[in-house]
Amino acid sequence: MADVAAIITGHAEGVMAGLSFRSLLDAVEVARAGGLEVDVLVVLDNPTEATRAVFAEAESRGATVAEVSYADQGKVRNSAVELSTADNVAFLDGDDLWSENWLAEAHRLCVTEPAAIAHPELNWFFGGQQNLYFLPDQTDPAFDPALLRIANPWDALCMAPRRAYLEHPFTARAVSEGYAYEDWHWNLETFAAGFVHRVVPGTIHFKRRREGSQYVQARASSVLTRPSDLLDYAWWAERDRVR
Amino acid sequence: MRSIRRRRRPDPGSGAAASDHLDNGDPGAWSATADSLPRELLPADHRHRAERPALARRLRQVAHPRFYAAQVGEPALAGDVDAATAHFLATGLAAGARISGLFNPDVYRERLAARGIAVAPGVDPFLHWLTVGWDERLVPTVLFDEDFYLARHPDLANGPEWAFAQYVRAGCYAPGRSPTHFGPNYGGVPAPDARERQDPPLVDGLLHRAGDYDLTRTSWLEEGVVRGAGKLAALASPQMQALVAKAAAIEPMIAEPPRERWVSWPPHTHPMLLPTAHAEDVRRQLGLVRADTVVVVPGGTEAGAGLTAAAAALHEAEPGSNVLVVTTDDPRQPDLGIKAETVDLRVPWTGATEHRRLLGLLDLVRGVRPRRLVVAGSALGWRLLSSYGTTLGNEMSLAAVLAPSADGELPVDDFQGCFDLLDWAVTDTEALREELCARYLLAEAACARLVSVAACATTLPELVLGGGDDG
Repeated sequence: MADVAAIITGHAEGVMAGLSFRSLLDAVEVARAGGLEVDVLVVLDNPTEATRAVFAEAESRGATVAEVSYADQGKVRNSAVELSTADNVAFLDGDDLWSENWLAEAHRLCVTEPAAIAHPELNWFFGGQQNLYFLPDQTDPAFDPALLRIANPWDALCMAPRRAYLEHPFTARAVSEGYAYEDWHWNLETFAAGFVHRVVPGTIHFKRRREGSQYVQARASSVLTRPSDLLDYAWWAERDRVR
Repeated sequence: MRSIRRRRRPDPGSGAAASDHLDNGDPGAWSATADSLPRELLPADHRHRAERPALARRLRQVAHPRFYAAQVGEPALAGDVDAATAHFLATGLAAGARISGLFNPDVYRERLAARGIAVAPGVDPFLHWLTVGWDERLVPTVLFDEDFYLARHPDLANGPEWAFAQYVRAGCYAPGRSPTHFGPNYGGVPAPDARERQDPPLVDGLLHRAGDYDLTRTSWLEEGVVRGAGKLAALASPQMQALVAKAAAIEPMIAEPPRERWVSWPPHTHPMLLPTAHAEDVRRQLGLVRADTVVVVPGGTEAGAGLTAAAAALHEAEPGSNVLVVTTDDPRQPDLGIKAETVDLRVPWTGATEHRRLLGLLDLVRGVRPRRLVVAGSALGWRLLSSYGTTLGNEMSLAAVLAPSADGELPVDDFQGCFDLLDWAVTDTEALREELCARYLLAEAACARLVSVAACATTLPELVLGGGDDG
């Protein structure tokens, strides 16, 4: 069984996905050089011809390529987890990049702390925005988990034990019903279940900001996360009681 | 982060008295004879300036009474600049309290030392800054990055006023104006009289988790900016530079110089941190974790015929259920004529933007998981329905009370925007009900969801118990 499944998801990124794939392969190379066994999985959701073409030779680079038809990032990720068998799963969107040390350093954390969900220290935005976002570590005493009720401090491009995804699959996006932000909901559910969201020092995710991204679309349409225990005052009252 | 700009060094022998005549400010706003600075705590060669109005004006201009009051345990000083500064000179200064959130003695000493200047023993560092540091244009806080600020407001570079002085006087009260990479120091919407009270939004950040800090030395906000600056500085390490270069070799856009770069890092510098704290304040203040019905009202006004009738009908239909009344604009609760729990959002969310107040109401409504949400006259409540009604309608029954405004206008905007989402609505009068039914050519089934006050007692229980609120 592999140590890590490095999974890239794609849809309509076209040639940009090639850049992301290169970044993934670099990180895989570093991880393998450190002795890790890494599976590479490409999961394309209703891909455009241009995107499919980018991965035409992916199998020759050691990747497994799968096509699905969900039009839903959460379902795509759930499907990818089902396809993988590795102990830990790391996702990369088809237009973003990892720092090359990501897989190796995140895995180091995950094996040390089996309940950890590893996030990069920094999200480096480029393209439409050029901001820096240093992700919080849940174990920082200054971190107030109530922030999770108001905002989503982490995204889904993390490395987590495969069981975290199996026990807490991403919920379906249903914008017409007013629900989206499935990554936020996943963070709520994993937090409530006892997983610990940690950051991996010295690691970076380079995230392309495009106006048409699903996140931007969700923000514009007044949608919310699905209900979660973590949004429930009863959960917080119980937490107050036992502390 | 570079924020020190050297413009002019005073002649040590002259006591920099020339600058005493250059400060802006209202000369009448301070009485030098009543509140002169303590001569013995000033630098020796500046003691002759102790009674000069310019120094007193500087002191008054940088004072943040609420921040000071929190340190000395005198809440009454929080809203009174003159009383706070007088108290500071009388006792707080000697006790080491900070009158200004934009002065940090340790930062000042460090930056002063970088210029080869030291605060002599026995001289108070704050008074040293008022006399020497101000003339040196030395920024005594991590909460203001002069280079960053000037880059965003280049007109200030050639103006008559030092950029930091402008920030102290005006910039720190401007909504959303950022003095560092880390955002606007928790800027929200300053209260209308924030400038008069010298209570800029940054004071909220200074006082956040105040119990965890010795406010005379540091604060949550300052610690956060220091740690954030450390993270930024670490990006210059060879390891991080190499990682960025490797990625930029794949995607050159990564290395493009940013036009403008914001840096955010929870737990300290995230725009939703103080909203989170407000939401937690409300939750803890409320105490209860469940409400069968949440009623959202503006507060400060009578309940009105429609709301009173609706409350009575709900109570009749569900005598054991609990009702939570939420005020959004005025903490004074209306009398609904029934037993109800109450909670106010107006006070804890003071200074927050409309959007953040909405998030606060949303947090409360989803937090207590009601079976029913009733909006009655609250603009924020109506916005909750229009923004998130589709989602909330999956989780609870939605309802409203419709009443003409004080000047007789019909609530047509609210009605149009939300009626499709509502399981029922009560109108203050039968005439209003008929008018709405006629105006919108409502079909019989839709019209049946509109209930007048007169029909409330008989019709509303049927609507409530008839399956419309299964949520």
